Amino acid sequence: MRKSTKTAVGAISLGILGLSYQLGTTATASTGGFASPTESASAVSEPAASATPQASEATVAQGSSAGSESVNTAPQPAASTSSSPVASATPAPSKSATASGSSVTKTGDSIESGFGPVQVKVTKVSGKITEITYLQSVATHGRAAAFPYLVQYAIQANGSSFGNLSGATYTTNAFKQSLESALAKF
Amino acid sequence: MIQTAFVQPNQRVRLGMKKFLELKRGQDFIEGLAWFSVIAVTAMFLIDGGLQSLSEPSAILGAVDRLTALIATNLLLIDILLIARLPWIDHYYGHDRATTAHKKLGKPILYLVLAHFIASVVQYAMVANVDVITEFISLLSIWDILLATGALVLMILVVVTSLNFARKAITYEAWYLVHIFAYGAVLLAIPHQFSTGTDIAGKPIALTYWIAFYLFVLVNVVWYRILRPIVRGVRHSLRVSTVARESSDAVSIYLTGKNVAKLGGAAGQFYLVRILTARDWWRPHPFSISAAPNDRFVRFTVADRGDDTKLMQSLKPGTPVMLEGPYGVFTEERRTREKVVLVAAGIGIPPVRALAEQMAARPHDVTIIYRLRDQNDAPLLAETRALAEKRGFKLIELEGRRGVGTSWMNADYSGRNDLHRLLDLAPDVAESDVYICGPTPWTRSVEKTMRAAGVEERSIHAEEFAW
Repeated sequence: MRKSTKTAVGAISLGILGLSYQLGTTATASTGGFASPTESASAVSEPAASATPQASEATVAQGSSAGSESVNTAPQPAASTSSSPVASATPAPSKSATASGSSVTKTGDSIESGFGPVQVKVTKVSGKITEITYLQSVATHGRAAAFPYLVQYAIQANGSSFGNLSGATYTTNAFKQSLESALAKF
Repeated sequence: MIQTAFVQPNQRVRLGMKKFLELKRGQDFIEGLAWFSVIAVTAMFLIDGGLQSLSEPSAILGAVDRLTALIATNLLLIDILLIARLPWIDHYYGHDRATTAHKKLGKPILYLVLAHFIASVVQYAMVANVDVITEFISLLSIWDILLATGALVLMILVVVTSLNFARKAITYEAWYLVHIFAYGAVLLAIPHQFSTGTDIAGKPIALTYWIAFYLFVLVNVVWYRILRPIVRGVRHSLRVSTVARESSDAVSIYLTGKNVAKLGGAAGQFYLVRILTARDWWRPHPFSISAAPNDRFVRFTVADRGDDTKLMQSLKPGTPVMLEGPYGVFTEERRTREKVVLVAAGIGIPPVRALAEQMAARPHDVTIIYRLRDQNDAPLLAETRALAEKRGFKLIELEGRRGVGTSWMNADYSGRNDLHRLLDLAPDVAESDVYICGPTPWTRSVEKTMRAAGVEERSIHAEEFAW
């Protein structure tokens, strides 16, 4: 390349990279959330060897009409074996508890992530995802810590269009597939 | 056999600085495009917040992991384009410059891929809180990671076998076969990029970019390296018609076939020649044409160098041959001045002989310097003499033993250096375009003298036959 071109190209490149970095600072926490979670840091310090038991019930409820119905306070003796550090563990069937007529729950496919099967059950109230429950959530090698974040991101995004959790890409993909298969049934 | 039925020389040629500037502009455009492709993937990474919230070691490793993968893949695709013998790259850079760039990129790409590999395994191990080996083994249970690991092994093999010391230790054939693995490496790495790539999955712009880039490379490689040579092979169905002895160690191979005139090309270019026999079809041999393109035959003049050139000496008439090309920028296309000095040593004569035949020139515009051992045993000497006489070119034969030191001329025992002798032989050299073809060290030596004589860098054109 000629010198003048090189200078111009270099300057433009620096500009683009600088601007991109600026845009990046405002980007959502779509990535890196797993490696450096913004809340409940204890999630990562969970012993790695402990695989989440199959079919453990873990629910994150948003403060909507359907979610508020379920009682968050009562600790579940049976489900407490689950090592996943979820915000709250609720009894499995939340469908009967819902009074609101517009609440619908569908079950997704069971997807093998490579670290274990993932299957979710999704509840929607008037088109918005309010609740995602794991029917299967097995992820060996420490990936289980990703599960609560996945639910949180999916509810925030109201679907599967959120970035991968770095460090748990396969689990993320399996979660998204199961979620999508459930959403397809609505 | 002396070829004296010469083609009509080019009637006109475009000269001057403007042509050179256009070439430079084209090169800058291609290099700029390549550079900005790297910037683009880096920018997409940054916009995505790739360098945000790097408070933990594992997050930093994650960023390293992603960025090295993105840049390495991008460079790898560029590296394939560089060696795919694409006409548009060849036109602007010539095969040898593209090949040099291809070689230079090889090692950095491998380092980036290794960094990506190490960073990702260590990062995953840190997140999972297990040791690196355990993590690596657990990752291998995922099939696309397994494939990607295979790709890495292939890449290491390709680069290591291309290092100078290894290149000397193994045969060209072994190296060639291993290098074909590089395509395998690229393909094996694809699944894990699209299934797990944090920067591709669920990102429509990035996804479009990568699919488009992969398709672009695929189409170029399949068309120019596989389909087009086959199509042209069928269309022209070239065969060896005559093998004529030119000197004690060189022969001219004449190919004839259908529509030879349509092969196109220019004097000074070369083809990759495939001899279509069961034993030799798979490896191409680069040879310059030794007569200007015409409507009757394609001719190569090949000296026995003990390697794959040996088999050329004993080719049987009727043997089918396939050509890829023509390639190269050792042509009149690069000429910007009225005066031309053509310099050849030994079996470097073929492209120079072809150029002398085709170049647009008035008498005395062209000077040919032919460095040869023995005038009774020099390939193409008789017809070069006939050409020079017919066109009114000056032919200087530097015959005999080599001069002392790094001299590229013959020993004349006058004690004068190459520069003084050159200025005597070709007084206008500083205002000329100089075309040099010979072995690499000899070529370097000629270039040095030419620069000392005041020939501008842009007017020095060299073709080496070291492969």
